Amino acid sequence: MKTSRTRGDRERAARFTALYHRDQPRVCAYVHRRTGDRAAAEELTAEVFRTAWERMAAGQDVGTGWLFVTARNLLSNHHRSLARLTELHRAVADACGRAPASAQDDAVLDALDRLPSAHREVLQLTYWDGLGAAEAGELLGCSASAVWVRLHRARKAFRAAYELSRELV
Amino acid sequence: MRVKSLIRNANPVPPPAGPLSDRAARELAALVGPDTAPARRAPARGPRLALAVSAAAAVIAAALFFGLRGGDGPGEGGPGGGGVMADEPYYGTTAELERAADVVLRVRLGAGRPVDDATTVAPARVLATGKGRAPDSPIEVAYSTPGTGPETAPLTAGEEYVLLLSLGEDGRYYLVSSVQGWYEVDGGRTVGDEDNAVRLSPGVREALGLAG
Repeated sequence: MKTSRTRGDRERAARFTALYHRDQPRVCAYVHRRTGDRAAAEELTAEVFRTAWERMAAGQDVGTGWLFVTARNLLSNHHRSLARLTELHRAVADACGRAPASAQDDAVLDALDRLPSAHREVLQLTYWDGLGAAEAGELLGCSASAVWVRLHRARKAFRAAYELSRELV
Repeated sequence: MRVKSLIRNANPVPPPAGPLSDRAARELAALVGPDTAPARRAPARGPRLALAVSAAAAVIAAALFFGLRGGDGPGEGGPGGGGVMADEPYYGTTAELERAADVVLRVRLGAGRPVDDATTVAPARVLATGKGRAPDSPIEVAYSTPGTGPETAPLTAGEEYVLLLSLGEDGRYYLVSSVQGWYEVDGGRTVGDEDNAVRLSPGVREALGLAG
């Protein structure tokens, strides 16, 4: 028997819609920053939210952290990240018709490239992707307070790397 | 050096603002159906309205999210998913604040020494433990050097404090927040930063031997 959408269906759709409006642009930007390819980012993000919708339809919870973790996993399965952030920035700027990175930005990107990946990742998640500590913690596999500790160390390491990069760039 | 602004300025893909792309809106409609998927962003509404909308009012709910977050990119807030671009988390409740700490200690702070241009490390003699396993005293406490940023803890050598700390892999203890990670002990009572509206729980205060 065909029934109209149940109240539960409508509530689930409303929750998903709110989640989608809030996080789809963020997830898409997250992927774009790591692929340098807008079209690929949109495609992969669509896959993330298709999976999220199926998961919600099955009665499972989906939150922001889960979306980013899923995007990260899909990225690692399907895309090889660009070798260096400076190259990625150039690719994105070229595709968008934007000016190339300034000398200061070049030094920042070079400094980030010099950092150990653990430091670079927490800085990117926090300052580029706009993830809160709890969200970043889900991606990094640690608690929110541990994220702040890692961020503290990463900022310290960045300062040293940036000074070196400014001399070289 | 403003690490946050330096890194943010070099972001190759700036934080998204504005409505969904046409493609994203179509994909949403394909998933949830056209009757619940708003095609375009609705005008921003105030937070009071959000309290009144039902869960089924998806259009308004979406507009609320954009009204609160979209225009300025990632916004402010607490650590539980908020605090998106904040340098420091802000804990809204006693439970959240105390949960963020590995240990809550009553200490006598020693003289600090700078270890870089923004970080000070000081020895602290542990007087009592309110949460977590009592560490070997003294411990080393790392915190942002007072005056090096908009939010730094005004810790002073020789003073007695209650500190909420996370243990780092380097063996040092870090304040969970420059604003909320410390309370001065004055006459057997705790006095927090003027911007910290959260008090310690009675259980923790009692364990620390403090009246209030």
